[in-house]
Amino acid sequence: MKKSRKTIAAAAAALTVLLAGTGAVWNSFAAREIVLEFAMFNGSNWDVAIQDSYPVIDEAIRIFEEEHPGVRIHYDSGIPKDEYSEWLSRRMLDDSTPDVMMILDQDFSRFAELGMLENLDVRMQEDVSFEREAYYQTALDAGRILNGQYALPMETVPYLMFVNKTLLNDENVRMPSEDYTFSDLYAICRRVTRDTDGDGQLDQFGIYKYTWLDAAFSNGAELFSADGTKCDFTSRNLIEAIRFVKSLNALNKNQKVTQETFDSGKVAFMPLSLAEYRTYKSYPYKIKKYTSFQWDVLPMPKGPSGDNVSIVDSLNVGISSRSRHKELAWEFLKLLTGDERVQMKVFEYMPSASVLRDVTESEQAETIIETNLDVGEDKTIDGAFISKTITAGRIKPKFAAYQEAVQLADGEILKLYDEDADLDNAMRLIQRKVQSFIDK
Amino acid sequence: MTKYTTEKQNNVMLFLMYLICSFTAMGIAGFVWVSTEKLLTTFDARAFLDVIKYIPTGTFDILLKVTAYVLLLGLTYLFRSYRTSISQPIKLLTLVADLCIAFRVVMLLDFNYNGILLWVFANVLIYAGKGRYTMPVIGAGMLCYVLTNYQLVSINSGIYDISDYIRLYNSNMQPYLFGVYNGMAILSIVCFIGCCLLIIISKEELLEETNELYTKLAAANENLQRANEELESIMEENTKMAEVKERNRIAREIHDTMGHTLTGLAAGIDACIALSDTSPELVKQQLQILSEVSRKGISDVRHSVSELRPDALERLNLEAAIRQLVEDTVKVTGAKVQFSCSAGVLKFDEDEESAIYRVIQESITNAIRHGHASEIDVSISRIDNELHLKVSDNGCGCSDIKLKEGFGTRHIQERIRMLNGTVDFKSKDGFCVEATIPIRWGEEYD
Repeated sequence: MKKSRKTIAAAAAALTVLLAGTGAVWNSFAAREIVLEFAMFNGSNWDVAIQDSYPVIDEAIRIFEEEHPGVRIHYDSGIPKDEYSEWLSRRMLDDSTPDVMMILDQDFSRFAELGMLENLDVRMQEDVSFEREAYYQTALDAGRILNGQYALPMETVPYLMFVNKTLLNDENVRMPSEDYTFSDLYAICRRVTRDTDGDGQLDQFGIYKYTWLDAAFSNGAELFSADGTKCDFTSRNLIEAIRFVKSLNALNKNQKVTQETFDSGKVAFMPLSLAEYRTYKSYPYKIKKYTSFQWDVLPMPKGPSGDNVSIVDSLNVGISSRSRHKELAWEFLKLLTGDERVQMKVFEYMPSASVLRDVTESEQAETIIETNLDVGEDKTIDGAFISKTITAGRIKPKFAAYQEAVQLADGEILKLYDEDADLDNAMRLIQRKVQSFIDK
Repeated sequence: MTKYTTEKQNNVMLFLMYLICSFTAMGIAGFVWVSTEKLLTTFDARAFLDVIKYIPTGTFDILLKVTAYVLLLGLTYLFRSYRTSISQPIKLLTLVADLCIAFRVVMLLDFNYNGILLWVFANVLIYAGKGRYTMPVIGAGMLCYVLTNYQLVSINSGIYDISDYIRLYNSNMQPYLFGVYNGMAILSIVCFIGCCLLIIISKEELLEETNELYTKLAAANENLQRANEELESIMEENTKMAEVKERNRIAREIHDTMGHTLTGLAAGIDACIALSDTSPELVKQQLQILSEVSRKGISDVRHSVSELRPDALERLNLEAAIRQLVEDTVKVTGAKVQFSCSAGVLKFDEDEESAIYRVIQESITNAIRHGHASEIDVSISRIDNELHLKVSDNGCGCSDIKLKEGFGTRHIQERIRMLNGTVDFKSKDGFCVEATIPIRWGEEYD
C-alpha cells in the first residue's frame, strides 16, 4: 500500500517535470526565433537570362536580420518562374501563404480579389519612415488596383525602341531625336524599306514587332476604364494609332518580317524592354545576339495626340493578409523596395531599373551602366534617360480580364490590316465584342 | 398515454435530425479538406484560384473545430433530454448557447450549410415550452436562418462556395456530389418540418382528449338533469299520494265520527222511545244529551266537510262551486246570502280559482262564526285586468286588535299575497273583506 502510493507520487512528479520541461523548451524555442517566409522565383521577371537570382534578396535578408535580431527570413530557392504561380497558389490553398511574396502580373489582381493580399494603404499613410515620393509613381501604380495599394514594386522596366544604328548609317539616315513622332518613324521606315539585292523581293524593313497597342499608348488612347468594366475602342486616339500601324505594315507589301530578319540586321526598329537591352548589352549575353551591327535605344515615338510614352512593367511584392507577423513583413517589404542599399543591388544585379528615382539617377548607377554595358561613345542611355522614360511611362491596366480582352481585340484588329474596310465602323463592332466579353 | 409516446417520437426525430445535421456539417468540412489535399497533389491550384471566390483558412482546422462544435451540440442535447429536472431558465440558456455554437459552425463552413441552425430551432420548439424568452429566441433563430442563406451572404463578403470544390471532380461524379450536398440540406429541412409536425400532432391529440372529456361531461350533465326531473316527478307523485292518503284519512274520520254519532243518536232515540211512556223527565234529560251529541256531530261533520270542500271545486266550475257554497250556507245557517258576479265567465287557473273559492269560503265562515251575521253580500267584478272580490256582512264586526291576532284573516291574506294581490279588511257596520287580484287574463280559456 505504502509502496504503491510512493510510486504514484513519483510518477506524477516525473510527469510534471516532463511537461514543464517540454513547455519551457517549446516556449524558449518559440520565443527565440520568428521565421518570416519570403516567396520568390528563380530568374528574372522579364524573361531574360540572369546569372544569379539571389544576390539582392540575400543582401536584403542580411540587412534585415541584422536590424531585427530574433527574426529569421526563409525562402525557397530554385522555383522557376513558370511554376511559381502554381506553387504560390498551392501554398495559399494549404493555408501556408508566405508572409512576403513576389507576385506575377497575371496573379496580382486575382490574389487581391481573393483577399489574399494585405491592403497597404493605412501602413503607407501612417508609417513615417515610408517615403512614397521616393518611388516612381508609375511603379507604385503597378501595385495598385481600384480600391487600394496591394503591393510595392521591387523592380521596374520600361519598354524602349531598339534602333539599328548600322542600318541607319548605311542608309544615310540620321538617328532620330528623343522626341521623334509617328511621322518621323514612318518617314524613316518608308526610306529604309527596299529591295537591296535587286531580286524583286523586299529584304530590308523599317520596323518589327511594333503593335497597335504600343502606338495606342503613345497616342494617349484609354482603352479601358480604371475598374475594367468599360472599354473604349472607338476613340480617335486609338483609330489614329491603328491607322499608323496599318500604314507601317503596308510598307512591307505583305512580306513577313521575322526575328531572323531582325537578328541579321535587316530591320531598323523594334520595341524591346530595358531588361533585354541591359542583358544583350552586357557580358556574357552580348555575344549571343545583335553582334553584327551597332544598336541603341530610343523612347517610343510620339503620336499626334500623345507623347513619347512607353509601357512600364514592375515586379510587385506584397504581404499575405493572413500573415501572423504583418508588422515585420511590412518592415521587410519596405526594405526590399524602399531601401537604397537593396535597390542599388537591384540595379547592379538585375537587368531592370530601381523603383527609387534617387537610385536610378545616382552616380553609382551611372558607373554601373558605364562599366557593365557596352554603350559606346554616343550612347543615349543613362540614368536620366531611364528615369525619364519610367516617369513618362504608363502601366498596363490591372484588372483580371485585361490580357484576354486585349487578345480578343488584337485578333480582330489584325484582320483589319489586310482589309480596306472603314475603320470607324470596324472599331464599333470590336467595341461591342470586347465590351460584351468584359461584361461576362 | 400520449405524453410518453410524443416525447419518444420527438426524441427519435431530434436524434435523426442531429445525425443528419452533424453529418452534413462535418461532411462539408471534411469534403473541403479532402478536396484541398487532392488539389495539392495535382497541379491545378492556380486554375482553381481563378474559379473560387475565397480561400478557406486551414481546412483541417475547420474540420476539427466543426467536429468539436457538433459534439458540443450533441452534449447539450443529451443534457436537455436526460436531465428532466433542469429548470426552464437553464434549458433556455443551453438553447442560446446552442444558437451561438450553431452560428459559429455556419461561419466556419462559410455559410455553405445553415441547416444546423434548424437543429437548434427544432430544439427550441420542443424544449422551450411557452416561456417569456421563447418568442425572442425563435425570432432570433429565424433571423439567423434567413440571414445565413449562402446566396444572401455571398453578395457582399468573401466566402468560398462548396460548388467550386465539387466541380474539381470529374463530370461523372459531380451530379452525385451535388445530389448529396443538396439532399442533405433538404433532409435537414425535412427533419425540421417533421419536428414541427410532431409538435402539431401532439397538440392535436391533446385537443382531442379535451374534446372527449367535454363530451363525457355533457353526457353526465344530461343524465343528472334527467335524474333531477325524475326525482321531481316522483316528488309530485308522492305529494299526490299524500293528499289521497289524507283524503282517505278524513273520509274515514268522517265516517267513523258520523257513524259513531249517528249510532249514538239512534241508540239514544231508541232509549227515548222506550222511556217516553214511563218517565218523561228522563226522556227530556236524554234528549238534552242527544241534542248535544248531534250538535257535536254537526260540528265534526262541518269540520271534515270543509276539509273536503275543494272536491266541489274540482267537480264544478268556480261560479257553480261558489253558488253551491252560498246555497249550503243558507241551508245550514239560515243566514241570507246574496251573490252577484259581473266578471263574465269565471274560469281561471287552478290556483287562482282555489284561492278565490277559499277566500269567499273563509270570509263567509268568519261572518257567521265571529260576526253572527244574518245577511252576507258576496260580489265579484272585473275592472281592467283585475278581479275585485268583496264579501260584506251586517254582523257585529271585529275590533282591530282581534283582526291582528288572526281569526281567519291571516289565511286570506296569505292566499291573496300568493297571487300578488291586495286585501283590505273593514269593520264598520259589519265586516267587509275587499280583495283585488291581478288575474292572468291572457291565458283565459274560452
